[in-house]
Amino acid sequence: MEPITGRALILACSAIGAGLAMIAGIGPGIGQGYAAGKGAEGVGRQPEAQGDIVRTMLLGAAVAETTGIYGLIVALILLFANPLIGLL
Amino acid sequence: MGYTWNLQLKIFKCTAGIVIIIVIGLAIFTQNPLPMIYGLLFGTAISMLNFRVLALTLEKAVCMAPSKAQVYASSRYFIRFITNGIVIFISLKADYLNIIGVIIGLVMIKIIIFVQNLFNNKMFFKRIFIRKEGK
Repeated sequence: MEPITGRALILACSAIGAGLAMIAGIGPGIGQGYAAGKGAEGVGRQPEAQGDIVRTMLLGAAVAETTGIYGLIVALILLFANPLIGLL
Repeated sequence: MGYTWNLQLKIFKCTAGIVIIIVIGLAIFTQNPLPMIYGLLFGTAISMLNFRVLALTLEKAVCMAPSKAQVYASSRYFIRFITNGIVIFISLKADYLNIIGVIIGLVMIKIIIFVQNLFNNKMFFKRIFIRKEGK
């Protein structure tokens, strides 16, 4: 059995880290869906406030969406442009 | 054009203005600014398109039944998420795009929203430095 090299260990740990970082992308999806459902309920209850509801929800959803992008960036950098390999 | 068109236009104009200022600054003050400029423009264009898609999605979702709206908004979010992933992957692989520029472009919309809606009040900053005992 061959011994585990430092490079192989870093690559394996980076893949695990990338998988963990991708979990960050699930939260905003659930949150946006929940917000859209509640927005639809609000519009059903008060149809004249549709414009205000959609505008507020749009700003909130756009800010929330960026959080998922951070996780995605970390995951893709770990997979395709790993800076830790250069430290060996 | 929908309930959010004026808001979208305001944010798009502000984003474009800020990006043009940053591009001019990069062109003047840095050596070899082209990858950064390309990356910034690419990221900003994609984030603006994503914002437009988000607005269309939400305008449509609020007219649905709540359970359908949840599924619709979540599924559309994951389509945008995959788009963002492709964009970041391309910027990592392409030598002529700077990844930092693309990331700044992708989060530019969030910065503009914060600047326009949260940090536009001077009292907000004054309140930060007022201690509770001093009130």
